[in-house]
Amino acid sequence: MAKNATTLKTHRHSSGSRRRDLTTETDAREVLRLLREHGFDSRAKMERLSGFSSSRVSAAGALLIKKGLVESPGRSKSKGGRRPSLLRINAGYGHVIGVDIGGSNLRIALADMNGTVLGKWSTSTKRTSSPDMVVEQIRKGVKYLLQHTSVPSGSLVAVAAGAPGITDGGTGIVLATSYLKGWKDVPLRSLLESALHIPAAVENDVKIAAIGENWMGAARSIRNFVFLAIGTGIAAGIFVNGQLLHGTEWAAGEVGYMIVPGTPETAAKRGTPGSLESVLGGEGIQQQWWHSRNRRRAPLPQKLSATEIFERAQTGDRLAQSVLERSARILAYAVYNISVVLNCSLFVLGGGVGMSAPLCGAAQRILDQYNEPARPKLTISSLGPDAQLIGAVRLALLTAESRIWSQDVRRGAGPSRLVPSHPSQ
Amino acid sequence: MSAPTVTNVVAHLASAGLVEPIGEGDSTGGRPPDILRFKAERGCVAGVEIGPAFLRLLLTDLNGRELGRTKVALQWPSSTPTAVCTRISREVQNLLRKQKQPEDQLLGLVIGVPAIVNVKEGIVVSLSALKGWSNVPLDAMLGSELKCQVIVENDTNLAAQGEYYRGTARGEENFVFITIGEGVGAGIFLNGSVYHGSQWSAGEIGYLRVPNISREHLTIHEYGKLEKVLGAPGILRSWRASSKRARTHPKVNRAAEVFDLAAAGNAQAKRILKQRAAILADIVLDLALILNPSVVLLGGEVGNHPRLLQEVKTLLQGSEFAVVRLGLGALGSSAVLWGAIYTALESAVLGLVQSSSSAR
Repeated sequence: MAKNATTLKTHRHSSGSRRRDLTTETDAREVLRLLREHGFDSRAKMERLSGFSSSRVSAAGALLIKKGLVESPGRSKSKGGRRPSLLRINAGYGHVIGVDIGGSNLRIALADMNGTVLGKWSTSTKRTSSPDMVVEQIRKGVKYLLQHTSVPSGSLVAVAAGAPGITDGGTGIVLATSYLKGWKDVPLRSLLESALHIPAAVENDVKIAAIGENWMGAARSIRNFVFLAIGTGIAAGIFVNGQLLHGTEWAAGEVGYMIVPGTPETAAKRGTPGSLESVLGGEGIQQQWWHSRNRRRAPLPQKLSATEIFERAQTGDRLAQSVLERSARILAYAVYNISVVLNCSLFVLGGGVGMSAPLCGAAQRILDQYNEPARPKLTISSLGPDAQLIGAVRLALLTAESRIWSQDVRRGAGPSRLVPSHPSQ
Repeated sequence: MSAPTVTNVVAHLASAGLVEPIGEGDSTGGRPPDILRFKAERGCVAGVEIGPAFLRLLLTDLNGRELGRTKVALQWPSSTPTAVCTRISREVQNLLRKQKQPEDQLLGLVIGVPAIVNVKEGIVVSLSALKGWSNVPLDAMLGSELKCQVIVENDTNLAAQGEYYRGTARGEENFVFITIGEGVGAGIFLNGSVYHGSQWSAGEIGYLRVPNISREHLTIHEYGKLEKVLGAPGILRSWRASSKRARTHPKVNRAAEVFDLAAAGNAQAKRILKQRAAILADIVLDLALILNPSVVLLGGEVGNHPRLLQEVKTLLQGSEFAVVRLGLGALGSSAVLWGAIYTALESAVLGLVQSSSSAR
């Protein structure tokens, strides 16, 4: 994306001063990124973090202030010499909307430019799940949030949504999902843009959760990690070299269909549970419990969630222990195989089943026994069910920023659809 | 770029000795254009492959045009890092002499090693088959002998590079090259370049755990067990085990011959082929699900057998999530060398441009 901008600009202006502008813009993006990561900061610290000279930081800061993205609230206390001047993100530049479209719930957050969430709204999607109905609910939710936070609607600068299916971030189309009825090739981005009249971005729900964990959660600023969501289904959001991995057809990380020792040999078909999901997903685990309970005619509760079964294992229930042991072994195999391929050591577990501490602990103990090159470490998501929503806020912020930078380019080169962090853009 | 910019860039490239004017072209109205030529003879680069029992070398000019190549036998157990380095530099010098190239013409050398390599520091982290080959600073050892830039890289990653630049993977930004020979490995391309992972071992799929291995070799639970079954020695072992039972079986020396026999209808060979294909299909499926590449290529002495490809394709037919395409590499046993050459060319040309910048 930055590359496109560079090419277009150099084509139009080849003079030295224009080229300097472009360098300043690149610097400004880096300074903004560092401000997001480290918060309210002095220019001197910014020079240390970025490795830029003080004049470069000043030029970048001036550009950011001119664009309204950053403000300079004066000077901090002197430690002897000249008082260091400060830079901080102008939280009031505008507001963004983050949306988490789930199989059972729709959740919306309104945040300022710092990413501070000012309000949340949610509703059920169980009965109203057609694309048009969901977008209408989003419009209602946004209206509600604006009223309750007293933010004027003109202040909104971008929206981003996570959807539970394979999503083409380039065109903004949700290609396929088995969690929402009637969702096939849904142009969600255009629907959102026409409903809310602001730039929109869409992303797969697990990938957007990975963005959230990378921004504020258990994988903060980690360049290579895997967010593994285990609930009814299983999927991974993979970060390589600081970037989300999308794959050729936006299907990277669809590991619910993976084959590891202990998974049944069934063909991977869209719309049917994958082999890994069928044993490690929430329903697969419940079924194991149900079968072993019936086989032994044990006087035990019939209906337990996966998490409840794993907790029961902690209290000494042998049947629950065997289900936990089996699930942990399969999880360990899956994590291990992914880490062999990617040579990635951090795995953040999320989702209803993945958040279970007994499961995480048992799988880690198995992984620790493998004396092989990959030594994966498991950790439980620190954002929990909010990971998607926070990732959506982050993506909305990036979308807003990329629009600001691309404005000059767009004026000269016609409309362009720029979504951050998508490699094919 | 504007005319003054181009003039500047050209002057820069000319001072690095990379381009030269070769006269004026036909005028299209205005001033006749200067015609430039890339000076491929400005230097040469070498690619080296350290194989299971051999060294292969290839020398090219800066256009990647082959000047000469050679293959020499290597006695593995006695091949200490020092001995291998001495041998490489002697063979490189021989090649240069044969081509009447002075030694300082050699601008870069890239070596492919069947091991995990820290490319940044030029260190061979571990070569599991050999003693004395852990944490070997091959880059520094060879650099002091040959006085040129040396890059050390994993052989499979280089093979993937080769296929990307002049093989089946041309134009593919996200693909996987799986090699099956003595060992098993994968070179992973993400967004147009090799992905190394956080400790240089991305794609070491010889360590994967897939179902068919565990089921049929319950006792083997050690280091790189998949490699031992799927690699050439494992295939030969299975063949010999089954020949013991039936004495009429033809003798084979190479694992690929077992697959030839399978193609000719030999029942034992077919069984061995099907077993390997089942394991490989699971690996391909897992790689495809994790990475979603546009194509998965098979290569190596065992991997590039068309019959194996056919079996794997059949097994993957039912999977909607399987790869878009599965094919064979086009460069055969030269893939590693060509990958080495292109890697050397990239950095050698860049080196010339940069050193001429700093000199100015």
